[in-house]
Amino acid sequence: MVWLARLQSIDRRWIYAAIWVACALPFVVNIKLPVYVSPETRRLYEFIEKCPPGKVILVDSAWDAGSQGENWGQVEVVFEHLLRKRIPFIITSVEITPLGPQFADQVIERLVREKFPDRKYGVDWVNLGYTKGGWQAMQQIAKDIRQQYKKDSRGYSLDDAERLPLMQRVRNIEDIYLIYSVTYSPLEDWIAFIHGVYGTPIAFGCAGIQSTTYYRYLLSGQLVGMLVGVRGAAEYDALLHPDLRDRNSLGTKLIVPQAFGHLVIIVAVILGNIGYFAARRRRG
Amino acid sequence: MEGATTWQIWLAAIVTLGIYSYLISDNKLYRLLLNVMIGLGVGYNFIIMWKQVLQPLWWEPMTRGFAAVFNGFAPGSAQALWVLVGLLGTLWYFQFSRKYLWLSRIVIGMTLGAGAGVVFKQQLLMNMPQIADSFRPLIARADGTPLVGGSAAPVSLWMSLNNIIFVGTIVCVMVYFFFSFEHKWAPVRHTARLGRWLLMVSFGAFFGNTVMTRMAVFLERLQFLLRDWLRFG
Amino acid sequence: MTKRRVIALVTFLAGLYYFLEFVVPPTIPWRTVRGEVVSVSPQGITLLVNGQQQQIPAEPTLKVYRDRPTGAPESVEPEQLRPGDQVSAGPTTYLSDWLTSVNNFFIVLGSMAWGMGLISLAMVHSSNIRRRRPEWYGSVLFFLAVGAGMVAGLGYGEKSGWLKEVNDVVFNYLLRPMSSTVFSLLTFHMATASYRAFRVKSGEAMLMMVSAFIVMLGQIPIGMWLTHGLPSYLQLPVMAQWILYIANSAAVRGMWFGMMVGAIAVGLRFWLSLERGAFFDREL
Repeated sequence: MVWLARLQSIDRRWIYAAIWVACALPFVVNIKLPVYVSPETRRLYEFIEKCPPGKVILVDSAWDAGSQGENWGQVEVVFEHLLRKRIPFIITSVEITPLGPQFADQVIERLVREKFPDRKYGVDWVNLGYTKGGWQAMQQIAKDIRQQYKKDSRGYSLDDAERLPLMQRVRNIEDIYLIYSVTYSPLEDWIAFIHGVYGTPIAFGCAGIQSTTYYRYLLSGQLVGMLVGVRGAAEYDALLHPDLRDRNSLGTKLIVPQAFGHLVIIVAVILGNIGYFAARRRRG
Repeated sequence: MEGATTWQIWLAAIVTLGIYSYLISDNKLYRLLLNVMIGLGVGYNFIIMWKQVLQPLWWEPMTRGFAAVFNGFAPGSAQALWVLVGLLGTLWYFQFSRKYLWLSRIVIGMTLGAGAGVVFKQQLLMNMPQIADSFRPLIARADGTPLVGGSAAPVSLWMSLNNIIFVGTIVCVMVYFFFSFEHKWAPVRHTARLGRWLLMVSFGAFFGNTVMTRMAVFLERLQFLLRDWLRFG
Repeated sequence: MTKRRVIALVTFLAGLYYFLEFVVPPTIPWRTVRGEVVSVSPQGITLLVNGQQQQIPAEPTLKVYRDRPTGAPESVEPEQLRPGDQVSAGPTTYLSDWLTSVNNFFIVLGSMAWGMGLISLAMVHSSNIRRRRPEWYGSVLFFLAVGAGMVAGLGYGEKSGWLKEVNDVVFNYLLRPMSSTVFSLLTFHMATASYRAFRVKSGEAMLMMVSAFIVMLGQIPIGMWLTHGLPSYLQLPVMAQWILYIANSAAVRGMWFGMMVGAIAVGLRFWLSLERGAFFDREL
């Protein structure tokens, strides 16, 4: 019983090592498992499928390196969907971080190089870069996008019809079909100031830890869909590629190591409790 | 990492492992790398803020305005007034002065005031649909409509049970957090206690999702080390 | 005392605009006419109001709002109206007209604080170097890194050249990996914290643990694999979704309704300068 009691005081470095080994295993031995597609992911997929011609999707890519494990995959799968269906989209980052649009550029560059070489910047997508102002910027974008952005991230004027033909038909919120905000914790101001005032549909791609506070918006219809963490990206990839062998998004690559990591945490909690109760029994 | 040369991958791997050295114990290398990271981030963001925000929204309109002013007050001269916003903006930096600290409180007050003024709109627009959605029929049909005045769909036990749990949870949790009076009366006390139990289910979900998020950040780094650097898998 | 009054006044005025913009209608209520558009001419708009036609003269102060299927009515020019549109028209209260200018003002004003972080850090690190505190060379590295970061920032948006190369290296192979790695240390802290602190000492803790395990297993493929042979209501992914959609959403809503009242109360205190505390009571 003494060794049982010692289970509650294992050196933390053994736990670190267990996490490293368990999570590394699926990378070394390539394992792919089917995923269960949640309702919030399916709703977003189906909503994008119904996008009418002439409308544009605004992607608020406001994530940085701290959340790229989750947000990179969420942006990757939706961009693939948009490029596949030739739904034009605009990238920006409102308030949170200046690095998000640059990350989005890297995701798109890879997708265009590997899967959609005929898609063109300025026609199929535009990157407006970073802007500040939070809810004030959102109101500006809704009324007149040119109030908030004079140029795109490459320095082209928004009125440059030759370089940015897409922007010639985007004036304000009326031209936007969906706003997809992807970041660690998407701003709820999109819901208040855009959906609440104009009725424009909003979707979030968020970290798992934040998603628990956003489920209530799905129930009330204020969000049309949501991608939650790594599993959201993996689920969306499953909808894009029904055949498991065709999936290679970051979400799909990380979901199995994630599973092993969860198991380590569960085992650690159970061992800690076994040790605690054994020690309590020993004491009397 | 497509397009990366070997030395670039090694650079990224070295800084990654240097920071992970903290897991063995706190050390000088880790602290040095932290200083480098903060310096790079601050310097990088400083320039991006200027290029993406201040230059297009303030500097360029202001200089165009002054050009119009010097051109005999041509149309667009009013934009020269942006210089006043620039002067107002310098008040932020009086935070560093003991004697004139109160000047920075002017711009802080303006920013706080604007945020406070909009909070009514923000909270009501965000939460009114939530409040409306919370009034759910306790005896519901399969499509969610109430028993009386609803559609022709059959009554659904599962939907009704879910709605009872849903509405009950909201009420119990709100009673638990209502601290304006003491929970002496037995029905209130028991309701608050039930609210605490129901909160535990929610906190369990929070914890589960926290594990998912924290794990994801590490997995992305692990993927880089194994696939891009060591070329496993 | 005068200083406090000036600060309280600017705080109140700044908030007053946004408060009025929300509560005051965009057109003067007692002079606003609501009806269906019959015809539009340069002289004005003819509306059908309660079965009778009414002419609204075209004046510079006239504002027309057209109903939409979702969201708030949209502001339109009279020329954009079509017969059959449901509109409300009247003299403007100017509050909504100024929204763009006021927003721009606050966005730029807020952005002016962008040097504060750099100056604060520079003060701390320069003090370290001046006084030769332990590991002062770290502060020297900090300043070198700031310079390198600034040079890299200049390469943002560039299409070619040495600035772009520096931007690529700094952003992709230094900033991104380091930020991401620092955040990922939380994984290990979370693991040891869970192992050491998560003790099932009561029924409530047991309920929390069961809920956590269901959510953790239900969101990974292993959860689906473990329970795929069971009835749907006993499958881990379905149970996890139920917890997130019903139990968790309801609890979060209960909390958030309280927070809504709190946010409005705190907002009111800030707006009216009634807030107290170390910062607000400080001698000016």
